[in-house]
Amino acid sequence: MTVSLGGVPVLVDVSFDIVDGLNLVLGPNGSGKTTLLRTIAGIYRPQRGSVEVDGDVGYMPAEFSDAYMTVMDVLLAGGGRPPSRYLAWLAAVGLGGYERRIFSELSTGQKRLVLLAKALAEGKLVLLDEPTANLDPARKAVIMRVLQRLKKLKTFIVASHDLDLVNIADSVVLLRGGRAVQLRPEEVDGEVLSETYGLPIEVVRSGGHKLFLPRYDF
Amino acid sequence: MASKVWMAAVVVVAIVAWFAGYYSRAPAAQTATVVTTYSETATTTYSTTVTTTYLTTVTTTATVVVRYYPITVVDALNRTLQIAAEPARVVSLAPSITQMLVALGLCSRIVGLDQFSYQLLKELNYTSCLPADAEVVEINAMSPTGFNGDAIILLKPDLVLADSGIEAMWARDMQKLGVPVYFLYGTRAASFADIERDVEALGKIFDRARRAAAVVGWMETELAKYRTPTNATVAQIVWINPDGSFYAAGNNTFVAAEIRAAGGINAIGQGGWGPFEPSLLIAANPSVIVVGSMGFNCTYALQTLRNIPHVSSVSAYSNGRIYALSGLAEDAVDQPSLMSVYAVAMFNMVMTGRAPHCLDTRWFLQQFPSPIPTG
Amino acid sequence: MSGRNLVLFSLASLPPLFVLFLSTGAVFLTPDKLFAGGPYSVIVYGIRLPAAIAAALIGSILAVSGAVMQTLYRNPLLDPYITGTASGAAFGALLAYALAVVGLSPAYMLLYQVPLAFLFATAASIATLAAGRGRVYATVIGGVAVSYIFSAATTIGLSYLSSREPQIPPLAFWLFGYIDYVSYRADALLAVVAAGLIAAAVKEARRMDLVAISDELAHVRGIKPDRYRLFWISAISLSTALIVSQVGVVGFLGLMAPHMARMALKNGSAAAVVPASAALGAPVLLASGALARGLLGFSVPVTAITSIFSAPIIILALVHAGKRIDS
Repeated sequence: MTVSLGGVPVLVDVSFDIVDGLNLVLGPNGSGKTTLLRTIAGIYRPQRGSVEVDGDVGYMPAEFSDAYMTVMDVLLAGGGRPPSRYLAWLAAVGLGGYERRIFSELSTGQKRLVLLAKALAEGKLVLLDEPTANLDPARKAVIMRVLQRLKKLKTFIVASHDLDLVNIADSVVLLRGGRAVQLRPEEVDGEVLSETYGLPIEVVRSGGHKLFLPRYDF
Repeated sequence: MASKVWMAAVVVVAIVAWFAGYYSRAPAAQTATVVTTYSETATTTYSTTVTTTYLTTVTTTATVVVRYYPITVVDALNRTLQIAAEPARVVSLAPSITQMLVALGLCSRIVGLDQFSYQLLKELNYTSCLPADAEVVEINAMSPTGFNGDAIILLKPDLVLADSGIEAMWARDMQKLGVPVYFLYGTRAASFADIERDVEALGKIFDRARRAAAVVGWMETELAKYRTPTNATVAQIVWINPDGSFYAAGNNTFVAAEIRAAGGINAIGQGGWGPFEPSLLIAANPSVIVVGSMGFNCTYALQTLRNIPHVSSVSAYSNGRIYALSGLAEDAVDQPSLMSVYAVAMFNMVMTGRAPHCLDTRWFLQQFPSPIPTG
Repeated sequence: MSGRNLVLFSLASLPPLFVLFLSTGAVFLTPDKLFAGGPYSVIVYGIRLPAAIAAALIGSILAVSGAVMQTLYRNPLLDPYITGTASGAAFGALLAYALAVVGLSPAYMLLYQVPLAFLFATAASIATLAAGRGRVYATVIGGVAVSYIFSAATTIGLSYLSSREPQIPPLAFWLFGYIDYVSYRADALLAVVAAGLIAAAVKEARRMDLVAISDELAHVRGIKPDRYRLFWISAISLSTALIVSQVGVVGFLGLMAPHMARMALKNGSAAAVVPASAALGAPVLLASGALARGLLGFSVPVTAITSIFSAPIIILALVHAGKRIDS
């Protein structure tokens, strides 16, 4: 598909297959990751090509307002699903019992988890925009564990710069200059990443997963 | 989304229909109710003598009584009213109106009057002409709903008389309440002709046209006495702010008409009541300044002139031609009504130097012992 | 306090407040006179009852409007007059005077004033919404600008007219609000508007919450946030214009009732605050109206009383917010 925003082409001739499990979309800032996600969600319509989605879509936004309402209210907002379903997914992300807490009083990680639970309740296909941004390593680990666990039940499309997510991905799409390259996670190596990001990146294996080390020249 | 459009359409239609209903009703032709009396002025007696050839002389006298009411009148706000019968219970909402009612011999009909009217009658010592059950209707002229609808409704008046200047904003709500109200020119009067028109209007409403004409004639006679053309320029100042800006009678106000009728010139060239800049007074340079009481005693009222910067350069001030009004004297100037003829007299006396600096109630009653012609 | 309790409490407080409203006025009617019939029944049923009904309905409409605005625009300092309805109405009213002064018969001024006020209140809103087009920042700034323009025009017009016609009645009614003489017909219209607005707002409350949380999420769920905001602010502006043309500007209620609800429920979601505001608005305005009519012998503007009420609420809300920010 091709998507233009405001007359400027953002994604040109992008097409890839969505596999079961976790699809990771990587790319530098401005490469169109969010645009891609929004197009799949139906917010934007492609100029050419089409998006085929079967069933409902859940969405976890990168930015959201600090709403002074209960977690339950956030879950129920505009969703149209029965409360019991939201509560079940709230428990699934590890926040069981938090429904009466005030959303704005939670930590950033907890807020993210609430919105993740909401997205999980609302669709078989779940789109996540930067789910691990601005989180400390422990909180990030929690999110990654949740995604790892749940990807058997859902199909995820995650847009992120967080290269650590490659470790839990089942498919990786690299965006650069509006074009896409789809790879299997094993195929993601330092060369291809360096080309995508324009910065030398080394891949190191440690303790069973890959570590990605950008070579900053200080 | 369709339900939202529907809902919006319903609301819009409801609003349009409501306003349409608003307009489908003509400006209310109101009916004033009750008491039936036969008019005394409109009785015609016919007398016929019939002579037949049968040596019988039959004289027939027929008395035909022409009913005066119902009549249709148009008030100063151009509203049409139907008066079904001579109003027996009247409420007056302005002292200028009360003066006219007293002069027309209608004081005993006043079942309700505003607090300023009552104050005026007290100063004139005329309260005894009111009926025993008359009530003071406390009004607040500053409030758009200050006509005290509750008290008026409880009085069950046949007619309420109001002032189309200060009290016009009450018209809509009074109409909503179904109160039969007639607006006189009152404080919107720009000339004595307007006042006389009010007197005649009351004469028409109460079937006292002859009496009204007599009152108007009296006004004209009094006015003729005091018309001395002078070159005096008079500024009538009603309030002075601490910074020297002031409120005064502009040249399209009734007070200006009074000054002109007395033969003078109104010093303030602009229209309205102000607020005016101090420089306007300096430039106008009146030869006479008259101030209202502003709630103070005479001496203090005169002293407030000093708040106006450079007032000493005004010829009125430097020549000591400054005067203060209070009590009945102030009422006569402020209330465009019968006593305004005395306002003209007072301005004339002030301009020709025959008045004291403090014109108060006592002085007023000395000069004009029976202010309202009740005869 | 739970939402249901708040609504029940508000509804329960209506009958005694109605009685209070019916008792107060230039003539204070004790309960025996109130229900006795006779000479006072005209006052009670002809004057005060329709005004009381109007107060309750208007209170609900303004409160619910404030709650919706504050949710959709994510700004707790908004009130329903944000699109310039207040200044527009004052200008329309002044225009009616101007028409009378330049020669149109004064009787027409009596007829035209209310529709002109409504017309210009709506015109001001349209101007604001055309400038803002549903976007949050643009609408708020646009509303401020439109209000200033109409206020300036009104002030200049007033000064000019005062010099031409010395007896220009004060604009106090339009600027500060008086709920004294309202017809039953107007009550019927207000009831239709209230029912429609409140029912729709309560039904849409969850979706409003979604728009408040994230425009993106709203898009995904099929709501176009800008258009949604535009729809609601148009409905609110129209209702507000109607209210202003009837009773003048009743201030602070739309601002403060949602805050009261938020503080009582300890929850700021529209799902909680919208129904609570609708319920709270009626007794608050009834009480304010009763006080406005009963404190002195004549009516003071109702906005003066609502502003007294709102001062402690706003201070409390600020302290609350301050604590949250600092913590």
